[in-house]
Amino acid sequence: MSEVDPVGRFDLKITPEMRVATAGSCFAQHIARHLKRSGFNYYVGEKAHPILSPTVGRANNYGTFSARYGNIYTARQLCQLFDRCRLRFNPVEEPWIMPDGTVRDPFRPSIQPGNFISVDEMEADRAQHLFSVRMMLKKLDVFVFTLGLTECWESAEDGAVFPICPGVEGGTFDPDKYTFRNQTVPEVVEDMTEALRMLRGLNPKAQVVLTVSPVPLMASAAPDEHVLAATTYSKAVLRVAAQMLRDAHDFVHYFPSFEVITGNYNRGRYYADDLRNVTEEGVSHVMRLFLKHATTDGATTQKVAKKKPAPVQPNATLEAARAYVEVECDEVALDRE
Amino acid sequence: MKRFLVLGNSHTENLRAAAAQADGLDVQCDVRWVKLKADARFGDLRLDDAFAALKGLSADDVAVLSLFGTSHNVIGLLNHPRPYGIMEPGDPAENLGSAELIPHAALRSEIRAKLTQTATLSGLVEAAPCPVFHLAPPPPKADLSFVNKKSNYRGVDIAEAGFAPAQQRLKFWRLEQHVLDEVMTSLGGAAIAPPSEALTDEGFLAEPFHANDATHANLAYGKLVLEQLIAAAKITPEQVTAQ
Repeated sequence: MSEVDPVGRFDLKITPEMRVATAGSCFAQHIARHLKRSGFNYYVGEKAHPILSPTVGRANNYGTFSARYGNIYTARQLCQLFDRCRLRFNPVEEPWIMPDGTVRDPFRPSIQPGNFISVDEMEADRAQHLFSVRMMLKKLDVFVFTLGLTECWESAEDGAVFPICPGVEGGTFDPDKYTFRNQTVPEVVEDMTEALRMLRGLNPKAQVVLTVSPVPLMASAAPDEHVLAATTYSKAVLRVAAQMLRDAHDFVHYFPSFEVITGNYNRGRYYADDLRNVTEEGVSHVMRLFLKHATTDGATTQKVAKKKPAPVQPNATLEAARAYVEVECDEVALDRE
Repeated sequence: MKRFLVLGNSHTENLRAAAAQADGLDVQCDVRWVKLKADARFGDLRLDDAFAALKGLSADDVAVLSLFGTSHNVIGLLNHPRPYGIMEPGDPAENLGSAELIPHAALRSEIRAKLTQTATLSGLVEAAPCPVFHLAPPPPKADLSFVNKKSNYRGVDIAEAGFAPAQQRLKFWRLEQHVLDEVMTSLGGAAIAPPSEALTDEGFLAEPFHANDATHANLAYGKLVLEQLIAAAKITPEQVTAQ
Protein backbone atom coordinates (compact mmCIF):
# COMPACT_ATOMS: atom_id res chain seq x y z
CA MET A 1 0.00 0.00 0.00
CA SER A 2 2.76 2.42 0.91
CA GLU A 3 4.31 1.90 -2.55
CA VAL A 4 1.38 3.47 -4.38
CA ASP A 5 2.60 6.60 -6.12
CA PRO A 6 -0.04 8.65 -7.90
CA VAL A 7 2.29 11.56 -8.64
CA GLY A 8 2.33 12.21 -12.36
CA ARG A 9 3.78 15.40 -13.71
CA PHE A 10 5.57 17.36 -10.99
CA ASP A 11 8.22 19.62 -12.42
CA LEU A 12 9.25 21.52 -9.31
CA LYS A 13 12.52 20.59 -7.66
CA ILE A 14 13.18 22.10 -4.25
CA THR A 15 16.79 22.53 -3.25
CA PRO A 16 17.85 22.71 0.41
CA GLU A 17 18.45 26.42 0.29
CA MET A 18 15.04 27.30 -1.17
CA ARG A 19 12.71 28.88 1.36
CA VAL A 20 9.46 26.94 1.58
CA ALA A 21 6.42 28.61 3.13
CA THR A 22 3.07 27.00 3.90
CA ALA A 23 -0.53 28.00 4.44
CA GLY A 24 -3.89 26.38 4.21
CA SER A 25 -6.40 24.30 6.06
CA CYS A 26 -5.59 22.11 9.02
CA PHE A 27 -4.12 19.39 6.79
CA ALA A 28 -1.48 21.93 5.80
CA GLN A 29 -0.21 21.80 9.38
CA HIS A 30 0.94 18.24 8.69
CA ILE A 31 2.85 19.41 5.66
CA ALA A 32 4.47 22.22 7.64
CA ARG A 33 5.41 19.84 10.43
CA HIS A 34 7.07 17.37 8.07
CA LEU A 35 8.82 20.02 6.01
CA LYS A 36 10.38 21.37 9.20
CA ARG A 37 11.93 18.05 10.10
CA SER A 38 12.76 16.74 6.65
CA GLY A 39 15.69 18.90 5.76
CA PHE A 40 13.79 21.59 3.91
CA ASN A 41 14.45 25.22 4.53
CA TYR A 42 11.08 25.77 6.14
CA TYR A 43 10.51 29.48 6.18
CA VAL A 44 8.90 31.15 9.16
CA GLY A 45 8.52 34.86 8.67
CA GLU A 46 6.73 35.53 11.94
CA LYS A 47 8.79 33.98 14.69
CA ALA A 48 8.13 34.07 18.39
CA HIS A 49 10.28 36.55 20.24
CA PRO A 50 13.26 34.68 21.72
CA ILE A 51 12.28 35.47 25.30
CA LEU A 52 9.43 33.02 24.74
CA SER A 53 10.52 29.41 25.03
CA PRO A 54 9.99 27.17 21.99
CA THR A 55 7.19 25.36 23.82
CA VAL A 56 5.34 28.56 24.64
CA GLY A 57 5.99 29.89 21.14
CA ARG A 58 4.41 26.81 19.60
CA ALA A 59 1.47 26.98 22.00
CA ASN A 60 0.92 30.55 20.82
CA ASN A 61 0.89 29.44 17.19
CA TYR A 62 4.26 30.78 16.16
CA GLY A 63 5.67 28.47 13.51
CA THR A 64 2.51 26.44 13.00
CA PHE A 65 2.56 28.03 9.58
CA SER A 66 5.00 30.45 8.02
CA ALA A 67 3.15 33.35 9.61
CA ARG A 68 0.64 33.50 12.41
CA TYR A 69 -2.45 33.46 10.19
CA GLY A 70 -3.98 30.25 11.53
CA ASN A 71 -5.88 28.00 9.18
CA ILE A 72 -6.76 29.46 5.80
CA TYR A 73 -9.56 27.34 4.45
CA THR A 74 -10.74 29.06 1.31
CA ALA A 75 -9.25 30.64 -1.76
CA ARG A 76 -11.07 33.84 -0.93
CA GLN A 77 -9.58 33.94 2.54
CA LEU A 78 -6.10 33.61 1.05
CA CYS A 79 -6.78 36.24 -1.59
CA GLN A 80 -8.06 38.68 1.00
CA LEU A 81 -5.10 38.01 3.29
CA PHE A 82 -2.74 38.92 0.47
CA ASP A 83 -4.80 42.01 -0.25
CA ARG A 84 -4.77 43.01 3.42
CA CYS A 85 -1.04 42.54 3.80
CA ARG A 86 -0.55 44.91 0.87
CA LEU A 87 -2.84 47.38 2.69
CA ARG A 88 -5.31 47.32 -0.17
CA PHE A 89 -8.18 45.96 1.88
CA ASN A 90 -9.16 46.85 5.42
CA PRO A 91 -12.27 44.91 6.48
CA VAL A 92 -14.92 46.83 8.38
CA GLU A 93 -15.55 44.01 10.86
CA GLU A 94 -14.91 45.20 14.40
CA PRO A 95 -12.75 43.15 16.78
CA TRP A 96 -14.63 40.48 18.67
CA ILE A 97 -14.95 41.28 22.36
CA MET A 98 -15.28 38.19 24.53
CA PRO A 99 -17.46 38.05 27.67
CA ASP A 100 -14.38 38.52 29.87
CA GLY A 101 -13.39 41.66 27.99
CA THR A 102 -10.54 40.07 26.07
CA VAL A 103 -10.40 40.49 22.33
CA ARG A 104 -10.18 38.17 19.31
CA ASP A 105 -9.21 38.91 15.76
CA PRO A 106 -12.22 37.95 13.61
CA PHE A 107 -9.87 36.82 10.85
CA ARG A 108 -7.82 34.48 13.06
CA PRO A 109 -10.01 34.01 16.12
CA SER A 110 -8.03 31.21 17.75
CA ILE A 111 -4.53 32.52 17.04
CA GLN A 112 -3.86 33.89 20.52
CA PRO A 113 -4.59 31.54 23.42
CA GLY A 114 -5.97 33.68 26.23
CA ASN A 115 -6.91 36.28 23.62
CA PHE A 116 -5.65 39.83 23.30
CA ILE A 117 -5.99 42.14 26.26
CA SER A 118 -7.35 45.08 24.30
CA VAL A 119 -8.45 46.19 20.88
CA ASP A 120 -5.23 48.17 20.60
CA GLU A 121 -3.13 45.11 21.31
CA MET A 122 -5.05 43.03 18.79
CA GLU A 123 -4.64 45.71 16.15
CA ALA A 124 -0.93 46.06 16.90
CA ASP A 125 -0.46 42.31 16.61
CA ARG A 126 -2.48 42.25 13.41
CA ALA A 127 -0.37 45.00 11.87
CA GLN A 128 2.78 43.11 12.87
CA HIS A 129 1.31 39.93 11.41
CA LEU A 130 0.33 41.48 8.10
CA PHE A 131 3.78 43.00 7.75
CA SER A 132 5.26 39.53 8.33
CA VAL A 133 3.00 38.07 5.66
CA ARG A 134 4.15 40.72 3.20
CA MET A 135 7.78 39.95 3.98
CA MET A 136 7.08 36.25 3.66
CA LEU A 137 5.60 36.71 0.20
CA LYS A 138 8.67 38.67 -0.86
CA LYS A 139 11.21 36.24 0.53
CA LEU A 140 9.79 32.77 -0.06
CA ASP A 141 10.88 30.61 -2.97
CA VAL A 142 8.09 28.05 -2.77
CA PHE A 143 4.59 28.56 -1.41
CA VAL A 144 2.69 25.40 -0.50
CA PHE A 145 -1.02 26.03 -0.16
CA THR A 146 -3.64 23.47 0.81
CA LEU A 147 -7.12 24.23 -0.41
CA GLY A 148 -9.54 23.14 2.29
CA LEU A 149 -13.11 24.33 1.85
CA THR A 150 -15.48 26.10 -0.47
CA GLU A 151 -18.00 27.03 2.21
CA CYS A 152 -17.42 30.24 4.08
CA TRP A 153 -19.14 33.09 5.86
CA GLU A 154 -18.61 36.60 4.65
CA SER A 155 -19.46 40.09 5.75
CA ALA A 156 -22.55 41.39 4.00
CA GLU A 157 -21.01 44.84 4.14
CA ASP A 158 -17.67 44.38 2.42
CA GLY A 159 -17.37 40.68 1.56
CA ALA A 160 -14.60 39.96 4.08
CA VAL A 161 -14.41 36.22 4.62
CA PHE A 162 -14.04 34.59 8.04
CA PRO A 163 -12.28 31.32 8.80
CA ILE A 164 -15.26 30.16 10.85
CA CYS A 165 -18.85 31.26 11.20
CA PRO A 166 -19.10 34.37 13.40
CA GLY A 167 -20.60 33.45 16.75
CA VAL A 168 -18.74 30.15 17.07
CA GLU A 169 -15.37 31.32 18.33
CA GLY A 170 -16.28 34.91 19.04
CA GLY A 171 -18.51 37.61 17.70
CA THR A 172 -22.27 37.36 17.50
CA PHE A 173 -24.03 35.78 14.60
CA ASP A 174 -26.36 38.17 12.83
CA PRO A 175 -28.01 37.00 9.60
CA ASP A 176 -28.20 40.60 8.43
CA LYS A 177 -24.46 41.05 8.85
CA TYR A 178 -23.10 37.72 7.67
CA THR A 179 -23.97 35.68 4.63
CA PHE A 180 -23.10 32.17 3.62
CA ARG A 181 -21.14 31.53 0.45
CA ASN A 182 -20.31 28.22 -1.15
CA GLN A 183 -17.67 28.96 -3.73
CA THR A 184 -17.91 27.65 -7.27
CA VAL A 185 -15.08 26.54 -9.50
CA PRO A 186 -14.92 29.91 -11.32
CA GLU A 187 -14.85 31.74 -7.98
CA VAL A 188 -12.04 29.61 -6.60
CA VAL A 189 -10.05 29.95 -9.80
CA GLU A 190 -10.61 33.70 -9.85
CA ASP A 191 -9.60 34.17 -6.21
CA MET A 192 -6.55 31.98 -6.56
CA THR A 193 -5.54 33.66 -9.79
CA GLU A 194 -5.71 37.01 -8.05
CA ALA A 195 -3.73 35.66 -5.08
CA LEU A 196 -1.10 34.27 -7.45
CA ARG A 197 -0.95 37.59 -9.28
CA MET A 198 -0.30 39.41 -6.00
CA LEU A 199 2.32 36.88 -4.96
CA ARG A 200 4.18 37.09 -8.26
CA GLY A 201 3.87 40.86 -8.20
CA LEU A 202 5.87 40.91 -5.00
CA ASN A 203 8.04 37.93 -5.88
CA PRO A 204 8.27 37.17 -9.60
CA LYS A 205 10.21 33.92 -9.11
CA ALA A 206 7.89 32.36 -6.55
CA GLN A 207 6.78 28.81 -7.23
CA VAL A 208 3.50 27.46 -5.90
CA VAL A 209 2.46 23.96 -4.87
CA LEU A 210 -1.25 23.35 -4.50
CA THR A 211 -2.75 20.48 -2.61
CA VAL A 212 -6.33 19.68 -1.66
CA SER A 213 -7.13 18.75 1.91
CA PRO A 214 -8.47 15.20 2.26
CA VAL A 215 -10.17 16.10 5.54
CA PRO A 216 -13.94 15.93 5.05
CA LEU A 217 -16.29 18.65 6.23
CA MET A 218 -17.47 18.39 9.82
CA ALA A 219 -20.72 20.13 8.99
CA SER A 220 -22.28 21.98 6.11
CA ALA A 221 -24.15 25.26 6.13
CA ALA A 222 -25.44 24.69 2.62
CA PRO A 223 -29.24 24.59 2.75
CA ASP A 224 -30.73 21.10 2.55
CA GLU A 225 -27.33 19.57 1.90
CA HIS A 226 -26.08 16.45 3.62
CA VAL A 227 -22.50 16.76 4.85
CA LEU A 228 -21.42 13.85 2.63
CA ALA A 229 -22.76 15.52 -0.48
CA ALA A 230 -21.36 18.86 0.66
CA THR A 231 -17.93 17.29 1.12
CA THR A 232 -17.99 15.77 -2.34
CA TYR A 233 -18.99 19.11 -3.85
CA SER A 234 -16.32 21.02 -1.95
CA LYS A 235 -13.48 18.64 -2.74
CA ALA A 236 -14.54 18.31 -6.38
CA VAL A 237 -14.58 22.07 -6.84
CA LEU A 238 -11.18 22.48 -5.22
CA ARG A 239 -9.64 19.61 -7.15
CA VAL A 240 -10.91 20.93 -10.49
CA ALA A 241 -9.77 24.44 -9.62
CA ALA A 242 -6.30 23.17 -8.68
CA GLN A 243 -6.02 21.39 -12.02
CA MET A 244 -7.12 24.49 -13.94
CA LEU A 245 -4.64 26.65 -12.07
CA ARG A 246 -1.82 24.21 -12.71
CA ASP A 247 -2.69 24.06 -16.39
CA ALA A 248 -2.85 27.84 -16.63
CA HIS A 249 0.43 28.71 -14.88
CA ASP A 250 3.83 27.09 -15.35
CA PHE A 251 4.84 28.13 -11.83
CA VAL A 252 1.89 26.32 -10.23
CA HIS A 253 2.29 22.64 -9.37
CA TYR A 254 -0.28 20.19 -8.09
CA PHE A 255 0.68 17.54 -5.57
CA PRO A 256 -1.87 14.71 -5.14
CA SER A 257 -1.93 14.32 -1.37
CA PHE A 258 -5.72 14.21 -1.62
CA GLU A 259 -5.48 11.14 -3.84
CA VAL A 260 -2.94 9.44 -1.58
CA ILE A 261 -5.21 9.74 1.42
CA THR A 262 -8.62 9.22 -0.16
CA GLY A 263 -7.70 6.61 -2.80
CA ASN A 264 -9.69 3.41 -2.35
CA TYR A 265 -6.50 1.36 -2.66
CA ASN A 266 -5.88 2.00 1.05
CA ARG A 267 -9.35 0.80 2.09
CA GLY A 268 -9.86 3.89 4.22
CA ARG A 269 -7.07 3.10 6.63
CA TYR A 270 -5.46 6.52 6.26
CA TYR A 271 -8.36 7.93 8.25
CA ALA A 272 -8.55 7.60 12.02
CA ASP A 273 -11.58 6.15 13.75
CA ASP A 274 -13.34 9.48 13.71
CA LEU A 275 -13.26 9.25 9.87
CA ARG A 276 -11.89 12.80 9.60
CA ASN A 277 -8.41 12.90 11.06
CA VAL A 278 -5.63 11.62 8.86
CA THR A 279 -3.35 9.06 10.46
CA GLU A 280 0.37 9.57 10.73
CA GLU A 281 0.80 6.60 8.41
CA GLY A 282 -1.11 8.47 5.71
CA VAL A 283 0.71 11.73 6.27
CA SER A 284 4.04 9.91 6.10
CA HIS A 285 3.06 8.34 2.79
CA VAL A 286 2.24 11.78 1.38
CA MET A 287 5.44 13.35 2.61
CA ARG A 288 7.60 10.47 1.43
CA LEU A 289 6.27 11.00 -2.06
CA PHE A 290 6.67 14.74 -1.77
CA LEU A 291 10.32 14.35 -0.86
CA LYS A 292 10.82 11.82 -3.63
CA HIS A 293 9.36 14.03 -6.33
CA ALA A 294 10.13 17.54 -5.08
CA THR A 295 13.77 17.21 -4.10
CA THR A 296 16.55 17.37 -6.62
CA ASP A 297 17.70 13.83 -6.11
CA GLY A 298 15.18 12.34 -3.74
CA ALA A 299 18.04 12.18 -1.31
CA THR A 300 16.01 13.26 1.66
CA THR A 301 13.39 10.63 1.00
CA GLN A 302 14.67 8.40 3.73
CA LYS A 303 13.99 11.12 6.28
CA VAL A 304 10.32 10.26 6.30
CA ALA A 305 10.30 6.64 7.31
CA LYS A 306 7.59 4.31 6.23
CA LYS A 307 5.20 4.31 9.10
CA LYS A 308 4.36 0.76 10.04
CA PRO A 309 0.67 0.40 10.86
CA ALA A 310 0.10 -0.19 14.53
CA PRO A 311 -1.87 -3.29 15.54
CA VAL A 312 -5.51 -2.39 15.69
CA GLN A 313 -6.79 -2.23 19.25
CA PRO A 314 -10.12 -0.99 20.44
CA ASN A 315 -10.09 2.82 20.62
CA ALA A 316 -6.33 2.82 20.12
CA THR A 317 -6.20 4.06 16.56
CA LEU A 318 -7.95 7.32 17.20
CA GLU A 319 -5.90 7.96 20.30
CA ALA A 320 -2.72 7.24 18.37
CA ALA A 321 -3.81 9.51 15.57
CA ARG A 322 -4.53 12.27 18.03
CA ALA A 323 -1.23 11.79 19.73
CA TYR A 324 0.79 11.87 16.58
CA VAL A 325 -1.03 14.20 14.30
CA GLU A 326 -2.89 16.61 16.45
CA VAL A 327 -3.66 19.74 14.52
CA GLU A 328 -5.76 22.73 15.30
CA CYS A 329 -8.93 22.83 13.27
CA ASP A 330 -11.38 25.63 13.84
CA GLU A 331 -14.27 23.37 12.89
CA VAL A 332 -13.72 21.49 16.12
CA ALA A 333 -15.33 24.49 17.76
CA LEU A 334 -18.55 23.54 16.00
CA ASP A 335 -18.65 20.42 18.14
CA ARG A 336 -18.56 22.51 21.26
CA GLU A 337 -21.65 24.42 20.33
CA MET B 1 7.04 31.37 69.98
CA LYS B 2 5.73 31.64 66.43
CA ARG B 3 8.37 31.17 63.82
CA PHE B 4 8.85 32.68 60.36
CA LEU B 5 10.98 30.66 58.02
CA VAL B 6 11.92 32.84 55.07
CA LEU B 7 13.34 30.91 52.13
CA GLY B 8 14.60 33.63 49.90
CA ASN B 9 17.32 34.95 47.69
CA SER B 10 19.23 38.18 47.33
CA HIS B 11 15.98 40.12 47.67
CA THR B 12 15.50 38.92 51.26
CA GLU B 13 18.87 40.02 52.55
CA ASN B 14 17.32 43.32 53.60
CA LEU B 15 14.67 41.36 55.48
CA ARG B 16 17.39 39.36 57.21
CA ALA B 17 19.04 42.61 58.32
CA ALA B 18 15.73 44.09 59.42
CA ALA B 19 14.92 41.04 61.51
CA ALA B 20 18.38 41.13 63.10
CA GLN B 21 17.87 44.75 64.10
CA ALA B 22 14.30 44.41 65.32
CA ASP B 23 13.78 44.76 69.04
CA GLY B 24 11.18 42.86 70.97
CA LEU B 25 9.95 40.70 68.13
CA ASP B 26 7.49 38.18 69.46
CA VAL B 27 8.35 35.87 66.59
CA GLN B 28 11.50 34.06 65.60
CA CYS B 29 12.49 35.05 62.07
CA ASP B 30 14.94 32.82 60.19
CA VAL B 31 15.91 34.19 56.81
CA ARG B 32 17.79 31.83 54.52
CA TRP B 33 19.14 32.24 51.01
CA VAL B 34 18.28 29.09 49.09
CA LYS B 35 20.48 27.62 46.38
CA LEU B 36 17.89 26.63 43.82
CA LYS B 37 20.66 24.98 41.82
CA ALA B 38 23.31 22.82 43.42
CA ASP B 39 26.10 24.82 41.77
CA ALA B 40 24.66 28.22 42.68
CA ARG B 41 27.37 30.68 43.60
CA PHE B 42 25.47 32.37 46.40
CA GLY B 43 23.23 31.02 49.12
CA ASP B 44 23.41 29.30 52.47
CA LEU B 45 20.81 26.55 52.18
CA ARG B 46 20.57 23.75 49.66
CA LEU B 47 17.16 23.09 48.17
CA ASP B 48 16.92 19.66 49.80
CA ASP B 49 17.60 21.26 53.16
CA ALA B 50 14.99 23.91 52.44
CA PHE B 51 12.39 21.19 51.98
CA ALA B 52 13.50 19.58 55.23
CA ALA B 53 13.32 22.90 57.06
CA LEU B 54 9.77 23.47 55.82
CA LYS B 55 8.68 20.05 56.93
CA GLY B 56 10.07 20.82 60.38
CA LEU B 57 7.72 23.76 60.88
CA SER B 58 4.59 23.49 62.98
CA ALA B 59 1.08 24.47 61.96
CA ASP B 60 1.40 27.70 63.94
CA ASP B 61 4.48 28.83 62.05
CA VAL B 62 4.63 30.79 58.81
CA ALA B 63 6.60 29.88 55.70
CA VAL B 64 7.66 32.76 53.49
CA LEU B 65 9.09 32.15 50.04
CA SER B 66 10.89 34.69 47.92
CA LEU B 67 12.40 32.53 45.24
CA PHE B 68 10.44 33.28 42.09
CA GLY B 69 9.03 36.22 40.21
CA THR B 70 12.30 37.70 39.04
CA SER B 71 12.01 37.14 35.28
CA HIS B 72 11.22 40.85 34.92
CA ASN B 73 14.85 41.39 35.93
CA VAL B 74 16.51 38.32 34.49
CA ILE B 75 14.88 38.77 31.10
CA GLY B 76 13.59 42.30 31.18
CA LEU B 77 16.03 44.59 32.94
CA LEU B 78 18.20 45.31 29.92
CA ASN B 79 17.30 46.11 26.36
CA HIS B 80 16.96 42.99 24.27
CA PRO B 81 18.84 42.77 20.94
CA ARG B 82 15.41 42.27 19.38
CA PRO B 83 13.52 45.17 20.97
CA TYR B 84 10.08 44.24 22.21
CA GLY B 85 7.16 45.90 23.90
CA ILE B 86 4.30 44.84 26.14
CA MET B 87 0.88 46.44 26.19
CA GLU B 88 -1.53 46.74 29.08
CA PRO B 89 -5.22 47.60 28.75
CA GLY B 90 -5.51 51.24 27.81
CA ASP B 91 -2.08 51.45 26.21
CA PRO B 92 -2.15 52.89 22.71
CA ALA B 93 -0.24 50.93 20.09
CA GLU B 94 1.78 54.05 19.22
CA ASN B 95 3.71 53.59 22.46
CA LEU B 96 5.33 50.51 21.00
CA GLY B 97 7.26 52.59 18.52
CA SER B 98 9.30 50.25 16.37
CA ALA B 99 9.47 47.55 19.05
CA GLU B 100 8.01 44.13 18.41
CA LEU B 101 4.82 43.39 20.31
CA ILE B 102 4.85 40.35 22.55
CA PRO B 103 1.20 39.67 23.26
CA HIS B 104 0.39 39.97 26.94
CA ALA B 105 -1.17 36.49 26.99
CA ALA B 106 1.91 34.94 25.37
CA LEU B 107 4.26 36.47 27.93
CA ARG B 108 1.85 35.47 30.67
CA SER B 109 2.00 31.86 29.52
CA GLU B 110 5.80 32.04 29.44
CA ILE B 111 5.94 33.30 33.02
CA ARG B 112 3.41 30.73 34.17
CA ALA B 113 5.44 27.99 32.48
CA LYS B 114 8.57 29.11 34.30
CA LEU B 115 6.73 28.99 37.62
CA THR B 116 5.11 25.65 37.05
CA GLN B 117 7.40 23.69 34.73
CA THR B 118 9.23 22.22 37.69
CA ALA B 119 7.58 21.04 40.86
CA THR B 120 9.78 23.25 43.03
CA LEU B 121 7.23 25.91 43.91
CA SER B 122 4.32 23.53 44.33
CA GLY B 123 6.54 21.12 46.25
CA LEU B 124 7.66 23.80 48.66
CA VAL B 125 4.11 24.93 49.29
CA GLU B 126 2.95 21.37 49.81
CA ALA B 127 5.85 20.56 52.12
CA ALA B 128 4.94 23.21 54.65
CA PRO B 129 2.42 22.27 57.37
CA CYS B 130 1.60 25.95 57.88
CA PRO B 131 0.48 29.01 55.89
CA VAL B 132 2.79 29.76 52.97
CA PHE B 133 3.33 33.17 51.45
CA HIS B 134 5.43 34.30 48.54
CA LEU B 135 6.88 37.79 48.61
CA ALA B 136 6.80 39.84 45.45
CA PRO B 137 10.29 41.06 44.58
CA PRO B 138 10.54 44.84 44.81
CA PRO B 139 9.15 46.64 41.79
CA PRO B 140 11.47 48.29 39.26
CA LYS B 141 13.11 51.63 39.82
CA ALA B 142 11.96 54.38 37.50
CA ASP B 143 15.34 56.04 37.23
CA LEU B 144 18.44 53.90 36.97
CA SER B 145 20.81 56.70 36.09
CA PHE B 146 22.60 56.20 39.42
CA VAL B 147 23.67 52.68 38.50
CA ASN B 148 27.28 52.17 37.50
CA LYS B 149 27.08 51.59 33.77
CA LYS B 150 30.51 50.03 33.71
CA SER B 151 29.21 47.00 35.51
CA ASN B 152 27.40 44.07 33.97
CA TYR B 153 24.16 42.33 34.73
CA ARG B 154 24.21 38.56 34.46
CA GLY B 155 27.13 38.72 32.09
CA VAL B 156 25.69 41.40 29.83
CA ASP B 157 27.46 44.72 29.60
CA ILE B 158 25.02 47.33 30.92
CA ALA B 159 26.56 50.19 28.97
CA GLU B 160 26.28 48.26 25.75
CA ALA B 161 22.73 46.98 26.18
CA GLY B 162 21.24 49.84 28.18
CA PHE B 163 18.38 49.53 30.60
CA ALA B 164 14.98 48.71 29.15
CA PRO B 165 12.44 51.55 29.27
CA ALA B 166 11.07 52.09 32.77
CA GLN B 167 7.43 51.62 31.79
CA GLN B 168 8.21 48.34 30.08
CA ARG B 169 10.07 47.08 33.13
CA LEU B 170 7.11 48.02 35.31
CA LYS B 171 4.62 46.27 33.02
CA PHE B 172 6.74 43.15 32.99
CA TRP B 173 6.94 43.21 36.80
CA ARG B 174 3.18 43.76 37.17
CA LEU B 175 2.40 40.89 34.82
CA GLU B 176 4.81 38.59 36.60
CA GLN B 177 3.43 39.38 40.05
CA HIS B 178 -0.11 38.86 38.75
CA VAL B 179 0.83 35.37 37.54
CA LEU B 180 2.69 34.63 40.77
CA ASP B 181 -0.42 35.63 42.70
CA GLU B 182 -2.58 33.33 40.54
CA VAL B 183 -0.23 30.40 40.93
CA MET B 184 0.19 30.84 44.68
CA THR B 185 -3.56 31.06 45.12
CA SER B 186 -4.05 27.91 43.06
CA LEU B 187 -1.56 26.14 45.32
CA GLY B 188 -3.39 27.17 48.47
CA GLY B 189 -0.92 29.87 49.47
CA ALA B 190 -0.88 33.59 48.87
CA ALA B 191 1.39 36.18 47.35
CA ILE B 192 2.28 39.29 49.32
CA ALA B 193 2.47 42.50 47.32
CA PRO B 194 5.21 45.03 48.08
CA PRO B 195 4.44 47.44 50.90
CA SER B 196 2.46 50.29 49.43
CA GLU B 197 4.46 52.85 51.44
CA ALA B 198 7.50 51.93 49.37
CA LEU B 199 5.93 52.68 46.00
CA THR B 200 5.60 55.78 43.89
CA ASP B 201 2.21 56.80 42.56
CA GLU B 202 3.02 54.96 39.34
CA GLY B 203 4.04 51.81 41.20
CA PHE B 204 7.82 52.03 40.95
CA LEU B 205 10.03 51.47 43.97
CA ALA B 206 10.34 54.88 45.64
CA GLU B 207 13.84 56.29 45.92
CA PRO B 208 14.12 56.15 49.73
CA PHE B 209 13.90 52.37 49.40
CA HIS B 210 16.53 51.90 46.69
CA ALA B 211 19.61 49.78 47.36
CA ASN B 212 22.61 50.92 45.37
CA ASP B 213 22.11 48.64 42.38
CA ALA B 214 19.55 48.23 39.62
CA THR B 215 17.21 45.73 41.21
CA HIS B 216 17.39 45.52 45.00
CA ALA B 217 15.62 47.35 47.79
CA ASN B 218 17.27 48.54 50.98
CA LEU B 219 16.97 47.97 54.72
CA ALA B 220 14.06 50.41 55.08
CA TYR B 221 12.16 48.26 52.60
CA GLY B 222 13.10 45.14 54.55
CA LYS B 223 11.62 46.70 57.70
CA LEU B 224 8.33 47.35 55.94
CA VAL B 225 8.24 43.78 54.67
CA LEU B 226 8.86 42.52 58.17
CA GLU B 227 5.85 44.52 59.35
CA GLN B 228 3.82 42.97 56.56
CA LEU B 229 4.84 39.50 57.66
CA ILE B 230 3.91 40.16 61.26
CA ALA B 231 0.50 41.28 60.08
CA ALA B 232 0.21 38.26 57.80
CA ALA B 233 1.13 35.91 60.62
CA LYS B 234 -2.23 36.59 62.17
CA ILE B 235 -3.91 34.99 59.15
CA THR B 236 -5.07 31.44 59.69
CA PRO B 237 -4.34 28.73 57.13
CA GLU B 238 -8.00 28.73 56.16
CA GLN B 239 -7.83 32.42 55.42
CA VAL B 240 -4.76 31.97 53.27
CA THR B 241 -6.45 29.31 51.21
CA ALA B 242 -9.53 31.44 50.86
CA GLN B 243 -7.64 34.45 49.55
